[in-house]
Amino acid sequence: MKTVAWLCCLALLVAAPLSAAAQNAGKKGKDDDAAKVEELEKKLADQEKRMQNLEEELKGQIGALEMLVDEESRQAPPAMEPMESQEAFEEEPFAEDAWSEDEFGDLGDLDGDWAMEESVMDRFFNVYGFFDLTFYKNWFKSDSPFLAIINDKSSFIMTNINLYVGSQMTETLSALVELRFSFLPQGLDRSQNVYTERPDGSLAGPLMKFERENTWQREPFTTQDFWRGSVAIERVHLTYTPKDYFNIIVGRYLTPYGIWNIEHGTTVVLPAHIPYMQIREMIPLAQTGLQVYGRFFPATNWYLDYAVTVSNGRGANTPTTWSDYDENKALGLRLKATYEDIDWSLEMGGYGFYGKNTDRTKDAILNLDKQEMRIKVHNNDVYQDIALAGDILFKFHGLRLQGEFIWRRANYEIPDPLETLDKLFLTGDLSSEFYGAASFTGMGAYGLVAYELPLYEILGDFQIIPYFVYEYNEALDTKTFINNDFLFGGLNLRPSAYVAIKLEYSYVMPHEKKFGSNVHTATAQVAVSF
Amino acid sequence: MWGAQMNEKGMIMNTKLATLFSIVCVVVFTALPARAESPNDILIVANNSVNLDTISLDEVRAIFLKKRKSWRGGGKVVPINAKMGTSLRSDFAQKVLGMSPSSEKRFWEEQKVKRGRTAPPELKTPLKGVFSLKGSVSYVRRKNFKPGVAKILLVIPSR
Repeated sequence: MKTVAWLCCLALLVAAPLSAAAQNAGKKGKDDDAAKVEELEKKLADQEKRMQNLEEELKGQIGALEMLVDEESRQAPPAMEPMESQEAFEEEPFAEDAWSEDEFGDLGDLDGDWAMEESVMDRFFNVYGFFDLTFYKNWFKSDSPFLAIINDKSSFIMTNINLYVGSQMTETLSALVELRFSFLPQGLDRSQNVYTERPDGSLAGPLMKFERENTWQREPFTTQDFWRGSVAIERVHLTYTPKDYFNIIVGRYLTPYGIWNIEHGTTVVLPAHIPYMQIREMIPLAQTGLQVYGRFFPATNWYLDYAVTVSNGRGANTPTTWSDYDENKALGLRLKATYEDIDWSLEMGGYGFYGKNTDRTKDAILNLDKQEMRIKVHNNDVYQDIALAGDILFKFHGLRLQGEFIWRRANYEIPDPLETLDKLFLTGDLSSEFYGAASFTGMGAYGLVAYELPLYEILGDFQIIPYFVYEYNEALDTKTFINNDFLFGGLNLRPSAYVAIKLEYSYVMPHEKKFGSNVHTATAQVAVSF
Repeated sequence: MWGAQMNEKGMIMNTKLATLFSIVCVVVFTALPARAESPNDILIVANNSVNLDTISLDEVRAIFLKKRKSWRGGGKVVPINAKMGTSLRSDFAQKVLGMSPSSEKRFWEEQKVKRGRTAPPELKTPLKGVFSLKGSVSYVRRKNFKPGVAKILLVIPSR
């Protein structure tokens, strides 16, 4: 028995470690299996993901194939089957917008033979424009000096015939030309016969002679008479737009300041008259050079715009508009913040401009002995020009509140000689003595209120917009007789997107009554975009 | 005493009814979808290459008014309009741009004069354009959308 007992004990001692080893081996095998299963599951998940992607791709391909099949089937006219019922007609799929056409479609401005693989912006070319016809009548004192420059008789007049040519050469390159055609200078009164009145009432002179532009021509074949007009280049530039935040304009561009200067078209701006700050060009309306501009999106509905301008600077009235006579390029910086929601928007902007304006004359000196010529240049009108502008525009449904402000300072280094009438008004001396223009400060501001009457239910697309503008303008503090306050108001009627009819009353209040009386004007204008 | 018991019973009944009503409400409202899809919903769809899954209504407006030229994540955006005069275009103008069709026409007439900027090109089949053009975005009725052809970035309910 003892032996048996000992054998059992021995067996237990041997079997116990073996069993433990077996158990361990089993456990290890289980771990390996779990890892394998996990790995397989991972592979399966990967495969499923790939399958999903392939399915998506397949769906796309099927969609494209269906599209092609649809096109093919449409190319062969289907057998005419009578529509069974109105219900069936209503259930006709794709009746309107998705796949119902057999062409990619007229791309509007784009070429009809347009390859989908190319950018949609390719092959874009557009010609359009606007013009206006104005009928007006001024009332002012019959002997007012204003008679020299404005008409006291009612008249039709056409002053804006603007033609645009736009081309989108590539996705990022475009060009724009805006030309303004005019009947001028034909018929323009350049000057008056200017006399001085002696104490006894007799007249001496004339100091200046009446001059009117006459551009009369006779066509040699038919002998028909015609009168030449003119073309002003409002802007012509290349635009490179690679990013929202970085774009370049090269050429002659509208100065990116304010609201009016950008809107500028008679079909766009509400009133028929233009604010004096525009007329006096307190900031040059256009510049020749380059402009870098862009937009940032700091938050939902917010835009931050900037523009940096480098140009020849001012020169609308001098040759420097297309060429610079000094090495100082004019610099400008535009900053603007916009909040825009579906119902309302607020825009606030500013523009700073600094430039140096230089005009000059040239003397040619001939040396007959040496048969040589040398040129001597005289700068005759040099001044530093600084201007700051601010603008604000608030829109809420049909309400529009708009305001602009400009401050300008011109510091003469070499003053421009005063013209005859300026000499008379400023010095009272008409002798040949030289009088130069003095450095000056200018300031101007206007506010506009307009409201589109909520008459959509009654008039449909016909818009009626009453507006009112008040402007204070002191363009030159040294030449106060040209400064005016300006008040105008009226109705802007828009029967369609292409036509604006303006009925306006305006009232000009010169700062100095000595040189001009108040002027009342009634104006009717039709502006057309085409 | 009897009255108090009745009140207590009544209160218990009321509580039970309220609980039952709440359960029915929960069951009914969870069973209903948050909003029924309509075949006339407008889907804002983009080319499959566009690296975005969603877009806000304000972004869509900015893109279609050409106030934004790039996608949020980068890349040129190419907006494609439906034909002017279609109900799809009108609905899109109303719901996204906040304009009537005539106001939209005026807006682009003014943009041409102000900035030489024209409206996005129009296609009779905008979805086809979106399928083919890299970076493009357009809109289509749900009933006319084909899955996989383009990606849906935003749904504008028909009502």
